[in-house]
Amino acid sequence: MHGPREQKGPSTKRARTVFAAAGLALLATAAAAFAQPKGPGPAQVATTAPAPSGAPTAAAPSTKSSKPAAPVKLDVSAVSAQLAAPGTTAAGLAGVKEAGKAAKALAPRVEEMLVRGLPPDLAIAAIDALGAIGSAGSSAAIAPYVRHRRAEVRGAAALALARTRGPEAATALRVGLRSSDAALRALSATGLGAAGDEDSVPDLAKALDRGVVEAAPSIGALCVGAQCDDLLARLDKVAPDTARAVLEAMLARKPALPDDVLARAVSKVNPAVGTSAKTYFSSLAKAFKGSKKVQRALDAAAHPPRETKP
Amino acid sequence: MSARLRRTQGAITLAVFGAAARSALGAAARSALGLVVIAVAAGLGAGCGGGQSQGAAFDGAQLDDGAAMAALQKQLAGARIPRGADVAVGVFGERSLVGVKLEGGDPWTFEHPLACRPVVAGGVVVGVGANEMFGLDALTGKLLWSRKAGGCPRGAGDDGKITLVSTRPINGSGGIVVAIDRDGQVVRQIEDQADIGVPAMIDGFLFLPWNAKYISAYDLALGDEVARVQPGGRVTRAFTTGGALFFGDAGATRFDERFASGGRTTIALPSRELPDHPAWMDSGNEVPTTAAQLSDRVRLYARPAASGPAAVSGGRYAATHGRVAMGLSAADGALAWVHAHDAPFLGGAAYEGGFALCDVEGRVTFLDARSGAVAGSALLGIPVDACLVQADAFTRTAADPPRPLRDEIAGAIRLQQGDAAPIQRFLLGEIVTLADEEATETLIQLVVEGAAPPDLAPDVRAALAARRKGASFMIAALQKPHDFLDDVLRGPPVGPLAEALAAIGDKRAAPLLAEHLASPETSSVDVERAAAALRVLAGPAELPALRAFFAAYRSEPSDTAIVLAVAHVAGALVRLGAADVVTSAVKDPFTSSAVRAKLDPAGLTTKPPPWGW
Repeated sequence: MHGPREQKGPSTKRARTVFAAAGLALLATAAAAFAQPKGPGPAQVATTAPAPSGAPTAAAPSTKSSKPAAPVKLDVSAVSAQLAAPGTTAAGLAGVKEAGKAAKALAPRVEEMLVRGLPPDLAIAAIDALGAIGSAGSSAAIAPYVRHRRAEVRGAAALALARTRGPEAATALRVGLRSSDAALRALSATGLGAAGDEDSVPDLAKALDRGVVEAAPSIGALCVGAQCDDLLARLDKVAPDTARAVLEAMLARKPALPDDVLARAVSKVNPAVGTSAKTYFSSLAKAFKGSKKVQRALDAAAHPPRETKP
Repeated sequence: MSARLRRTQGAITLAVFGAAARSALGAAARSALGLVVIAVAAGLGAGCGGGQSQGAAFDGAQLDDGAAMAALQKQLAGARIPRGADVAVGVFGERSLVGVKLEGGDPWTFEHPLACRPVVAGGVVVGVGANEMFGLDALTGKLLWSRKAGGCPRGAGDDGKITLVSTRPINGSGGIVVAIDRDGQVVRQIEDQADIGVPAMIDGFLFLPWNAKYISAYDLALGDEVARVQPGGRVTRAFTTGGALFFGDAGATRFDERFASGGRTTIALPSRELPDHPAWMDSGNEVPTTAAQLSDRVRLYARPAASGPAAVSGGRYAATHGRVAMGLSAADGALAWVHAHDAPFLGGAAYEGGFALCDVEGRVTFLDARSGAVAGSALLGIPVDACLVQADAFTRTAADPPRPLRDEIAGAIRLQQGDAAPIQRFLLGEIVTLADEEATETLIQLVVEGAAPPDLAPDVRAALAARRKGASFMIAALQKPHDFLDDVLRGPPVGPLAEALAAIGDKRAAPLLAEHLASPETSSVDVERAAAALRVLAGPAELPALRAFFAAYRSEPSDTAIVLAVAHVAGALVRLGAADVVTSAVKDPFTSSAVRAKLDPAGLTTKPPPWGW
């Protein structure tokens, strides 16, 4: 059977990177971690304020930056013209992606292009663009691409769906969770957490049983009642960084999980943290804005009582 | 004929044939017979120790119109033909024999240099090696006699008192027949330039097939030929089984009251093409190699009925091919059962109610003729290089009900040895034609489990595609796609199922195929076949899936199977009234040139699926 540590590919590493920061809000950074071998290529982006070199993209916010990128003003008519002409479609899509939510008006046009079909590199660009816009209405157009024959297209679709969310996104991501493609399973597991699909917890639990460790934080982000208890019971069997990601996801819940659940999560994760416990739990305690009981649990984990010699 | 005469030790009484008999054979036969020399050498030892006599029994004047043979048959009709020992004898190495009774017990062993493969006749095992011929008690392995001799035995006959050994001379042509009693005394020796095949003996009469055309009956006591017949067709063997005498080569003709009358009782196996062309009986004029060869592993076994109409006992014959044994109808060659074995078969015999088949591990397995079920075994106790089985009075059947033929075939398909491929392909051809609907499920399992050897996997898929029964099993298989969470890690064989279901015209398959069409778990080749099937099976409900596939892959530049799949889907779209999608795509620069080349203005593909439209 599948061991809980079967996943050792880049997707696992990506997910760990994602959850190593500070909770559920960072789920979206999976987009940045997902390597896309083919971008839209050199493009003349029709924006009035091109992003400076090295600036974070809308689809890949920096995990270090607490400030969102400055909104990009989009020349809708110019970008529309680029999208309409085969020679400039890539540039147009890049512009939409860069503009992010500001390009919402162009979402139907991009969706239409996806529905009609594009070559794989342009399909990826279109999917990325829709993901950057983040409209639930785009999920239906993106969803079929989770089953595309090219892995890079599937991955792009899973990442985008995690951002567009909605029922169609959840359905498609649950399909991805059942895929033979381990990277897609990981992205789908992460995406389901980001998409907030509570109905997917049973499937995520099955995925975790089969070694999709990325499912664990998503369960932490979505679980209720006994589902959370089940997750905590499994924490003994997962890797320390996965356990930490679970704790962070649970601590980030809005509304918060019951205090006793969080306290138990802290105590479950504590042994897994090892020598860095003080630093780790101190930072969590500092960031956590919830109940005092949980705060105390975090403090206690950061400052364990000294052993007394007999 | 080179008349090499031996010392005369007794008188010869020539058989006297009538004038009619003398004219019965043609000039060719007369010529051949004229070359025969008979030497009678009672007490002949070490090649020249006994007396011998010369006669003209086989000269060209000895002709027979069948009357003499008919008279002889009538004379011998009441003679008791002793049953041969029921034994298996194995050869291992260059000097070791091992034997065991089929009924069981401890095996015996015997050491002697072996230049040729031994033969078993009646109760005696005859071997040759180091310029010595020896006879063993087949049941005990005890040495009965030995004498100087060369050549290799073609075969032997034995009537319980005298052992008759036909050997091929060292120079490779002609024949030598030696009659030896239980004390090792040579009571007669016959040498001739004609090829003398495997002899038999009844009640003091020798039956000698020669030149693959004639049977001569020879009175051992009188030292002369007493009858001769040309039965028609090749005849290189005389043998007894079940208390009857037969002559044969490709078939077996019983020596009964009809033998000399022209209305002979001839048993032949159905003409049926089997892998590597197994034979029931090799030419009795040949000498088998010491170690088993392909013709020993690929062999037919049948037991001609000893009485009544021409028939194969039990109505079944067996065919072996390496590790696989098959039971076939003696009436029409239809496959009745399959036995997949764990070691290649090297030899065997048919007995009343079954087959005793000996494998390289030295195990003799008894298979019930009716069901193919294992009815028991006997153990030689050591791996062997060749194996001889004689089963005359032996019988052993199994009460087990027959297993479904589909399961037995599947067992053979699962054999992983490369030399099994020819028989496995044959069996796949058989399973395609089975009326049993569950045979389809068996084939699906073989594909999904990946149970067949890799080289055979395409053949298994082809067999499944050729099935026209069991559509419900095909549908059920399509309903189980790859699903990581449900531990379905191998999806169904979409392509073969699509082809079969399209040929059947089962529209239940359409939504399922549409689902597999979209799945990245479906191989490109299977996607093409699913698309081809959907071209004929898809209905309006499949339009969204077809549109999505067409959109996603109309830009495909290089994967030929996907390009063809897109073209098939285009055909389906046109048929279902969505030609505008195709027309638009033809004009769209994002449609690859490869796809566009497959789309004619009507959106039809240039290549129809193999089952037609």
